[in-house]
Amino acid sequence: MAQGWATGGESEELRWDLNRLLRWFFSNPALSLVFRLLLGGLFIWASLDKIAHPAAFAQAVANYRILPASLLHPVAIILPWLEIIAGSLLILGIFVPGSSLLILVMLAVFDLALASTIIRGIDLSCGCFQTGPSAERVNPLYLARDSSLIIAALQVLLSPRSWATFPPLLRSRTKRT
Amino acid sequence: MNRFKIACLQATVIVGIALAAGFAYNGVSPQGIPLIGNAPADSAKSFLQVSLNETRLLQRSKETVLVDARAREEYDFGHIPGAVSLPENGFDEAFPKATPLLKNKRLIVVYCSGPGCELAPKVARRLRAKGYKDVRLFDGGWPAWLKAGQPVEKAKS
Repeated sequence: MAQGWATGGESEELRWDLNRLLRWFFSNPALSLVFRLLLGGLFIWASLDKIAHPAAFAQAVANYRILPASLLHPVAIILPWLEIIAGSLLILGIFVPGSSLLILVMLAVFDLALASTIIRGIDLSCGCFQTGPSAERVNPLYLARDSSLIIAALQVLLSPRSWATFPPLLRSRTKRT
Repeated sequence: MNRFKIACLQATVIVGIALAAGFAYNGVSPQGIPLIGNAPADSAKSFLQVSLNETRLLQRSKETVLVDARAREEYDFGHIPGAVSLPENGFDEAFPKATPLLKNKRLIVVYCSGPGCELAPKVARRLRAKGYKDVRLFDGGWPAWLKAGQPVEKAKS
């Protein structure tokens, strides 16, 4: 057997380990709870400044040069509420599949928007958490940050069970009475 | 019903709630904005901003013209190469001379002395009133251009 080359048996074992790891990752209910709290908290926090300053958020969205002018204000009005409601539901464990799907979609869209500004060389403030003059500028690290959040959202969406979700808590209460 | 269908159904409900909450709050909030159109404040925030990097790229574009809203003396002393002088004080006199230089340009970028300078937004508003649709502001202005070590043009004496 040549040294340094994986045999057919070893590579199969590696594949099997990887499959086991992925299955564990995407079905672990404790991990799902941790990601739910993290994503939910992040999205609630991100929404607050945008709800308080919709005009500044509309300007931040406009600076991405993606949406037509007619959509800027409706997006600036609705998006922060989508964030706060989806985030709250995720933390409370209500409508977990739906809220995690929405958060996944929002993260994917944000990632694409960020990538497009970096590719086009547009220097602007992200508008992710703050809309004022001191708001963070876009940089490629945000892509990495958002990509890891996307993986977390995917885990919550695909995980068949999660701890501390509302309907199971309700069911266990009604069983006891 | 499989998990993805449940997720889509729940997502639709959440979007509906967000729509209702968003528009309701916007209607009653003193910070509320119009559903369509520019921001209500008559200020620099009504115009799209361009960054220093964008200005550098746009300055080389044949479809874009840069407008310097500062006083003529400041323009003569130094301006962004290719920029047209259209001072806010003296706009009506300078505009007829500047019109041929603005013709057939898709985008006009106006600058003055940096953040807090109101000359550029005022000139931008007047250009918009004259019918130029795509007018934007280089908020960093002349100070940002100089600080970045960009080339400078002076008026021929």
